[in-house]
Amino acid sequence: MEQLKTNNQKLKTAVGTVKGPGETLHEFTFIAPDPDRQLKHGEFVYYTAPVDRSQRQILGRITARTAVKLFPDTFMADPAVPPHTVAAMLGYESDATELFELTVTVLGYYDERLHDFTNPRVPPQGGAPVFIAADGTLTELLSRGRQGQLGSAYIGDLLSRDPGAVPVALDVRGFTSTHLAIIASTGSGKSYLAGVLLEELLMPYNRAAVLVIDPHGEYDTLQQVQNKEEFRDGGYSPRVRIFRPHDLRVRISSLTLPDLRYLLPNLSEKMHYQLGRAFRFAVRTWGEDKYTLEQLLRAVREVGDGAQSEDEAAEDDPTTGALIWRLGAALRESSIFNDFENIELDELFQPGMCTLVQLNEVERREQQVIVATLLRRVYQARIDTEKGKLQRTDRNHMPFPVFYLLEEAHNFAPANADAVSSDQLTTILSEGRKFGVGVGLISQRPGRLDSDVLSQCMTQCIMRITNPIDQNRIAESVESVGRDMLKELPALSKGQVIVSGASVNTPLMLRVRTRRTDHGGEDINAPAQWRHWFEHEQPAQVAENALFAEKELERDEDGMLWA
Amino acid sequence: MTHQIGVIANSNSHIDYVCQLFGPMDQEQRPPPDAYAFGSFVAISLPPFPATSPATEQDTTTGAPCLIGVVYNSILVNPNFTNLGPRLTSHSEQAVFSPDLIDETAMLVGLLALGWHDETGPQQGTPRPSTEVGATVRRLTDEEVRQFHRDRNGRPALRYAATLLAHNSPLVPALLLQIIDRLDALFPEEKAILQVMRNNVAWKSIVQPAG
Repeated sequence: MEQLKTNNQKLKTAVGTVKGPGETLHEFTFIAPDPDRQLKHGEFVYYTAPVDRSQRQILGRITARTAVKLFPDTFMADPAVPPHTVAAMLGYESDATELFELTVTVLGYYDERLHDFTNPRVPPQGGAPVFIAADGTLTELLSRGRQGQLGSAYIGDLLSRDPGAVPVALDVRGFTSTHLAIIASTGSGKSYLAGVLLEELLMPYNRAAVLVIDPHGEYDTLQQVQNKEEFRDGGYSPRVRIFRPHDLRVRISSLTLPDLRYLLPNLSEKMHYQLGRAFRFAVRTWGEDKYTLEQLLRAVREVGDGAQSEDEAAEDDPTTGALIWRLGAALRESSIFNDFENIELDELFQPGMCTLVQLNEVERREQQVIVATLLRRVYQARIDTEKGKLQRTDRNHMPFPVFYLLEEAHNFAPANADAVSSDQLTTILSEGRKFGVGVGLISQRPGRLDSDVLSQCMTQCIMRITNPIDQNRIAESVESVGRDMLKELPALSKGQVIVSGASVNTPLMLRVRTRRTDHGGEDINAPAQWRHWFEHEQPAQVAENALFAEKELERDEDGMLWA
Repeated sequence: MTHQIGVIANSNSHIDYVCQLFGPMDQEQRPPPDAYAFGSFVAISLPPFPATSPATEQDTTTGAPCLIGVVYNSILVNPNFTNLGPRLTSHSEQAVFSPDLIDETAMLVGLLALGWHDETGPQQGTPRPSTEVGATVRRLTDEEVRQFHRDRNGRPALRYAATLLAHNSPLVPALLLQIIDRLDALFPEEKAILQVMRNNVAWKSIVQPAG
């Protein structure tokens, strides 16, 4: 209680004094001694100004901090002699040994009607006091969502304040309609953040329909939500369904011509042409989404050079032969592509259910085709449902919005390369909001992610990035994060994130909250496993080695030694 | 025993005084050279006292209110300088036939007042009181110098350094170095902090001008 009182007093006391306008129109500078070191980069401060005949708190964020008074360097010549003792010897015994100039970017006052900050364009008066914004004020103003309420995702606390002091909840509506990007280098906690986000989406107040493309199979632990009390409410309990690589099925007839072309590498011009004709032939003859691989192969023969009639297929034509061989190699030998089986959309998407599609051990091109197929089917189903083309009894009827979370997104929408999933992603990112298909992209290499794709994600969660190419890509593609915040990227620690865009009211630096389920993306502890091998598996191996060592070595005729 | 060295003869500012050292006509024994050497600390008596009677009736004992200063300059005054014409008296007869001439030959030292001593003890800084012509000047003992430079925590204090450095004289850096060296001997346990200051002054006054 006493501490709270002191804190309140501190907040009401001015922390600095306005010096004057900054370099740009929406900046001002103030001078502060800051003995308690509370004016951190990214901290929120305010001044008061008259707006519409009332005094409003004009909020701003500290974006730069420079020292205007410090001890001379020469006072620090001897590490054993603190500079303040030298100053005291010369007669300066005050504790006020430092003074800072802080630059503040003005956000404005919060306009309840607009649900956004409005810059009143009233510059603070020189000499006006500057105050630290109270925790409660920030909790109210910074988040679009309210912790624990419908449509909110509490992902962490404001970094510049004590843990738990200013919880920040994203607006789920914002990022599920205008998409999300989580960008971070390896080991900075992006999968952890994604886990937090998924937990929030499965909470009783959200009950989302989510699908996670998990190329490394690291979201298994999310299953724990099914057994945790905090995720339940009345009759509601979230479900997590996992499709492992051997469970995945894609019906061959659901593949489009570009999908087929993408799966068959190094096709000649003639093969491209013949494949196109065969595809159309198959669709025409057996119906869209109703043919088998054998029928497709037959279509290839039918349209090949030298084919006189339907009964006399061009078996000897080299193009036909090569195309048949390629189709067979790509589709017949795959456990995923199948004549009849297909994962139905209602198995993948249901409100309150998270589906994990694990793509580990699946070849890269197949992964891309699977993702493209899934995206296309869902998108089409949503369009058809929204436009009333599908009825409740129809197989693909999907009367609820869905959210896709795509790990390793740079593999599915690579920059400077063609991937069959890129086009589908671009379409959904630009038009998906109209039909309730939201996408969350997770990538550790934004430099290798298509910049158009990245720039379409209107909510960004950016964690530590040290690679300059990746930093530049973020600067190019992410408009909502200011340059001042981007400078923080290499300095962010594990679990710290910059969130900006449509789901928050202003770019924020957060500390990601603790997960309620275990984190599954831990690295392998190699030294521990090596030691484990010595303790548990070595004896058999040693015996084998001993036998090997007892054998006499013989030299063969080439002079090589053999046991 | 107090080592009186002279009287105040003039001043250039509130803290910049000129002291005329006692000559043969004033005292039988002239002050020893190290008593008014460059960097020596002195006490300048404060009024009220009869300004015209130097060395008499003034309380120059330790502990009496006074200004505390340091010798920062010295000037020789010789009215006979460049007077190369023939004189009626020889040099040895001057004491008999022209004693005024001997009296006019003097040695002046410049003093900077760096603090004062009152009933609360020694204080560093620009003194509030000022003295008058005729005030006696005496040399400070080592103990008095130590007291003057000791702050309330017992550490060396150089609060007058800024005033000293702002004084427009090329001799000031050398003066400050000399003071620090002396304090080094008086405060052996605080050598490190004094060295930081000494190196700082030495760098700026010795290394940088030559670089």
